[in-house]
Formats: sequence, C-alpha cells, structure tokens
Amino acid sequence: MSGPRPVRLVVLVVVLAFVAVLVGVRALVRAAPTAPSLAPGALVLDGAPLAAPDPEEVAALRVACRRGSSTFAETVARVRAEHVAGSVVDSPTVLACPAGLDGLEVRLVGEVVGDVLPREGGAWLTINDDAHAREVGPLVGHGTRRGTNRGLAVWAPDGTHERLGAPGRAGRRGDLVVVVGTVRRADSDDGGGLTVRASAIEVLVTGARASAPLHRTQAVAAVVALTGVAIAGGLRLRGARRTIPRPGAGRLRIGRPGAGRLRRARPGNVRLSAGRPAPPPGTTGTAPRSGS
Amino acid sequence: MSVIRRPAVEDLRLIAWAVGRALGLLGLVMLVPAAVALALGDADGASALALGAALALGLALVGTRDRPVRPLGWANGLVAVALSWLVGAFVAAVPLALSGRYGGMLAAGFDAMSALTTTGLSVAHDLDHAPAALILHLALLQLVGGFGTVVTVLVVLVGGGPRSVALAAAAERGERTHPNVTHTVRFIVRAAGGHLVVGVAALTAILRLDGLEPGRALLHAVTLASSALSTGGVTVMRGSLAHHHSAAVEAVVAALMIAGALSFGLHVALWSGRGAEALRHLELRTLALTTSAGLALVLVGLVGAGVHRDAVALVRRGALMLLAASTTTGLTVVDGTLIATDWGALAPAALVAAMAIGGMTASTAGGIKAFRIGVVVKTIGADVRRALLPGSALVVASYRAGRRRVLDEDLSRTATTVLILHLATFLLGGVVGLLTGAGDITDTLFESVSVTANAGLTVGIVGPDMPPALMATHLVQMWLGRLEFVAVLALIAWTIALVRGRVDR
Repeated sequence: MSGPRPVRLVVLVVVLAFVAVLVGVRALVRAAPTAPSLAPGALVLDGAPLAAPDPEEVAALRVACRRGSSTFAETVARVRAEHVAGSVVDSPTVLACPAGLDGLEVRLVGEVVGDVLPREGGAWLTINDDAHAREVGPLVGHGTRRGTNRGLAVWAPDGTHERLGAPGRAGRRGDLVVVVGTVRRADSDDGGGLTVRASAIEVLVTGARASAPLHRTQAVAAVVALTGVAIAGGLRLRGARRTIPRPGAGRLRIGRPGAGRLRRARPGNVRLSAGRPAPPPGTTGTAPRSGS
Repeated sequence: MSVIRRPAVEDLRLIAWAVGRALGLLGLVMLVPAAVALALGDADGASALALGAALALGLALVGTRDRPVRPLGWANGLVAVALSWLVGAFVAAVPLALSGRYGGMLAAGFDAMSALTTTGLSVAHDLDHAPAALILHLALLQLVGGFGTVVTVLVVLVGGGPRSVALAAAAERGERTHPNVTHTVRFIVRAAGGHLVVGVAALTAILRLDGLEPGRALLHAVTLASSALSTGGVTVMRGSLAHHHSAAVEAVVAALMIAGALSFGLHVALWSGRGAEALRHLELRTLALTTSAGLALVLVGLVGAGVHRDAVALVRRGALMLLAASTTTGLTVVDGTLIATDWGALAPAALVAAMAIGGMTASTAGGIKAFRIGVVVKTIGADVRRALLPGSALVVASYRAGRRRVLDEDLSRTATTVLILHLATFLLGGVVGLLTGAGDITDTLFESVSVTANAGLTVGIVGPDMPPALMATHLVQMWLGRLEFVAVLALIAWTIALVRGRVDR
C-alpha cells in the first residue's frame, strides 16, 4: 500500500475535486438570476450631471497633499483657492487633501447607509458616494460589481435628519441626499475624526427595497448536498456506535449479524469483525493475553 | 546526498484525518450563519452557506473515514495545520464567491484567508449592503482562526518536536497552559467564551443606548467583540470602529483587543493568582516597552505634524490606532487614506513597527511576537558584552519565563530565523506591490507588513481593484504570517517529498 501509485492517485483525486468545486461555483454564480438594477438614475445637480471623481487626479492630489512633503503647503493653498464655497466634493478628494478643504463649506452627494445614530442635538450619519451609492445601486442581483464603498461621517443637527428614511443596508438602498456642510479635518466634537458638519440635508431620491429573485438551482443544490452529507454522517455515526475501535487490531462489532438496532455489548452478542466466531457466554470477548 | 522519504499512505491517512476534523468543525460553524440567513429570509445567503458547510462536512467525512491507529506525530501535525488553513480558506470562500460580491474565487479566497488568519481585510464589492449572514460568517471565521491558532501553538508547536526545528517561540518558552490537549482546549474555550459573552453583552447594551435597534445592535456587538478578541478586524460597516462615534464602544473594544493579544499562558497565570511572576515575563515586559515606545512615537508624530490641536482627540485617536496596530486587530478609528495623507511620516512608521512586532505568542495576535524581539535584543546585548569583555570572560544571558532561564543558542537562532523570514516577507510583498503599480514603496510596505502580521490596517491599496498578482501574494503572506512560517515550510518540504521522495520498502 505504501507504493507511489496510491499516493499519486490520492493527489490526483484531490486536484480533480478542487477543479470540480471551482467549476461548480463558477456555474452557480453564472446561473444566478438577475434583478433590475436599483440605479438611482442620472443624478443632476445645478442643471448638470453629477460627475464621478477622476481616479488619476485623486491619486495625484493624494501624493501632492501628503503632510510633510515639499508640495504640501502649496497644494493646500491651491485647493483652498480653487474651491468655490458650496461646490460639490467627493470623499476621495476630501480624504486625499483634508487640510485643503478643512473649514470650507461643501456639498456632499450620496446615500445614507448603515445606521442613523441619534445623539444629543443631532445624529451621526454615514454618507457613501461610491459608484454603488450614486450610479448602479446596491449589489443585489444585478451583478454589476463597482468596487468598495467609500464615504464620510456627517453630523446632522436636529431639524436636518428627521425626514430621512431607513438607511441603506442589506436589501435596501437608502435615501440619496445632498448634504450642505463644513469639512472638519479633526473634529474635536468627534474625538478628532474627519467629519462634515451639516447645515442642511435635501433628499434627492428616496430609498427603495432591493431584493433578488431566489436562486433555485443553488437552493436545490444546497438541499441535496446537505441531505447527502447528513445521511452519510448518520450512517457513519451509526456504524461508529456499532463498533469499538481497537488500535492495530481491527474493530469489534457489537450486535448480532443482521440485527438492525444497537444492542448493549454483552457476552453472547459480541463478535469480531474479522469474522471470528463470538466467544462463548461467560467470557469477556477479548483475545486472551499470552501467559494468562 | 540524503534520501528523501516519500510519505506513506498511512501518513496521508493521518494528515487527512486531522484536516478532516478541522473541516468538520468549520462546517458546523458555517451552519450557524446559514441558520441566521434562513431566519432572516435570506434564502440565497442560506443556500450559499449551506453549500459551503456541506462541502466542509463532506470533506470531513472523507478525511476521517479511517481512524488512524498511530498518533499524528509532530511533522505530520505541522503539515495538517498548514493544510487545514489552506483547505479551510478554500471551503470558507465558497459561500463568499456565491454571494456575487467577489470578482472570483481568488478574491473570495482572499477574504476567507483574511478572516481565518484574523487579518480582517476585505476585497468585497459593496460591503455596506452585505447581508448579516455574510458578515457573521466572516466574524465566526475569525474566531475559529484566532483560537485555532492558539490551540495549534499550544498543542502542536509546544506539544512536541525537536527544539532545533521548532521555529515557534512558544516552543522555546517552556510554558504550557495545561498539561494536556483536552485541558488546554477546555480552558481556551472557557476563557474565550467568557470574554466573548461579556463583550457582546456590554457592546449590545451600549449600542442599544446609542439608539440602534436590537437586531442591529446585536450584529454589531457580535462582530466587534469577535473581531477584537480574535484580533481580527471584520466589521459590519466599512467605516470600522469609527462608524459608531462612541468612546464607550471604543473602550470595551480596546479591553477585548488587549485580552486577545495577551498569551493564554498569561491568562492562566492571572486566573491562578500568579500575576506577579507573569509581570516579570520577558515577553510581557518587551510588549509593554515596545507598545509604550510606539505610543510615544505616534503622539510625537501627530503633534509634530500638527494633526490634532485637541489633546483628548490626540490621545484617543493615537492610542486606539497604536493599539489596533500593536494587537494586530486592525479595528480603526481613522480612515486608512488619512494615515497616508494626513498623519505625517513618524506616526505611520510607528504603526508599521507596532504591527511588525505584534502581540504575544500563544495569543490570537499576529506579527513577529514580542518574545522573539526580546530574545533577539538579549542576544545582541550578550554579543556586545562578549565583544567588550576579555576573551576569557564567560557571558551568560538569561531571561524570565515562569522562572529564570539561560538564553541558549538554539533559542537565539530560531528567534532570529523567524525575524529574518518576517522581514524578507515584508520586503517581498512591498516589492510585488511596487512592481504591480499598486502604489509607492511606503504605501506598499505598509500593506505588506499589515498582511504578514495579520493586522488588517490599510492605507487604501487592498481593495477589490487591487492587481490579482498582489492579491495572491498578500493571500500567501497572510497564511505564512499566521502559521509563523514553520508549518508552511513543513508543508512545502512534505510536498517535495511526495513528488520526489523515495518509497520505503
């Protein structure tokens, strides 16, 4: 048994099983039924469509605005000079150059997600402005993967957040809002976090439920697989209860041959699996030790 | 030329049996989020998790078909550990891939390995809309991986093996929590379970007072508590710990992070009233010293860069981020991009050093481990003294670990070997990141250290859009770091023997 063939056969079986799982998963993902996208539609603000940030511009800003770099002061000054009070900004730009926008009035457009956390005098919101929030909607069923989430924490004082609906979560797209507020790079009221202190919040698009049709093939496969494993496991357990392992010497089988139910091991109903006859009544059923 | 022995079929049976047992546990754990998904009406989530569980349990049944008649042995045990993490991550990735939130099995495998190795990074798309069962699946994987690591270190690495081969520092500590496997596992389950229950209860109460609805508060509490205790980092929202805007939540999470990063040997010592001796342990002293120095550097760096004008904010953000790095938890209160853009140079460098050092051996934390750092420093000190003293002088270095012990060459060599392997892996990941165009060397090194130390902090490179080559490299780094190289090296040697070895006749 210790030759090369069995070992290589085992390796081959493992590799084939691995490939089979990969193929199966891929087939199930492809077979998933699609649902209509919960895209909020083309967002128009001030008469113009809302543009997504240019990743290359953000990357360049991130390098130039790195605190401690030689270009830091110059970049901060440029960003502050170019910013028009109340103009739309996005979270990647704010995070790339927080010092440049610190204390300036901005507009942030995005989806309210997660939780509305009420506190004295207002509530904390999380506003996501990634592609799933502003362009394609939550990734439920439509299968359009548009990256990770990104957003900013917003402090919404009383009077600004009460009309908001349920925030976006699993199975729901939250309200799409325009937040008018001030960027605080290190907000002492939030223990030093980067926040936007809102002065007004307007709902652009109300939230909606997001659900996908049932993946029937996957459900059937799961039921079949779990049932198969449960049966196999049950049979194994049943077999294990009916046998007593004896290291190096096979197993003791408990119960009369052909008996369906488990029986307590007693002299007379114990026999060796190797087919040896059961010991006569009055003996222990174990092999006699030499010298005994 | 030495002859490599090909593993026999009995060795394969032994390894399959051990891996099968691990997969059986994983399969049973995966049934929990499947049941939660079913209860919440998430049929697709339930079926995906059930398929993953069925695969794990099916493999467990196949692997444990023949109960071995001889003990696993140390070498086979190492191979089984490395395979358990690898196969476990593959199986746990199945429901993730079926969720449709990943670009493929590589990305799903990345997240599964990230959770199982308690790294906590994610490359999922649109995580903020992910169903509760998926988050719970990742949170439970962290617990399995975190405490699986502790059991592995205490049972497999400390439990046997020649000293000359044992790269794990725990093997050198001469310290075991309990005399046998059963008692060790029982103690770990009790201690971890106790911490987890208290943590979940406290966090649920705080989050309910903060205005969250009961189900949502419980989901956040379970995820945060399991992340903190297993030093993982998975959270319900992308915003991590900062999402809650709550000093009380941060305090509870910080306490759990510290509990997770302390060795279970220390937990036992504290429980059994041997706290005074434990406080003199080389590893605890090293950790206290490095963490204090790290905190000082972070605070000086933040003050120097002019990040915070408010002292409370400075300490709160700085201390929590240092703790997240030092315990390798990765639960953050600062967006990763801000660490790169707004924290200057010194504070991020201190975070990198803290992640690299990590927590204590036989804890859920990752990193090089404070014990090894202490040993290497002692070795350097002894070498300097040898150089300064006359050649006839006998220099004996010692350290405290339960009692005073002599620092021998084996211990110094293994600690230095692991240190070098870590440093090489940090560099390798950084260079791959650079070559794939993921960022500049400072950013790619930050990420590389973070994944190898299973910390989970990121400056924004790790994400769904990262290059596949870098994703695969980081996946391997997480695996290597979690198993502290030795088990993976054993698996590589075993695979070579399987292919090239000679059969015993």
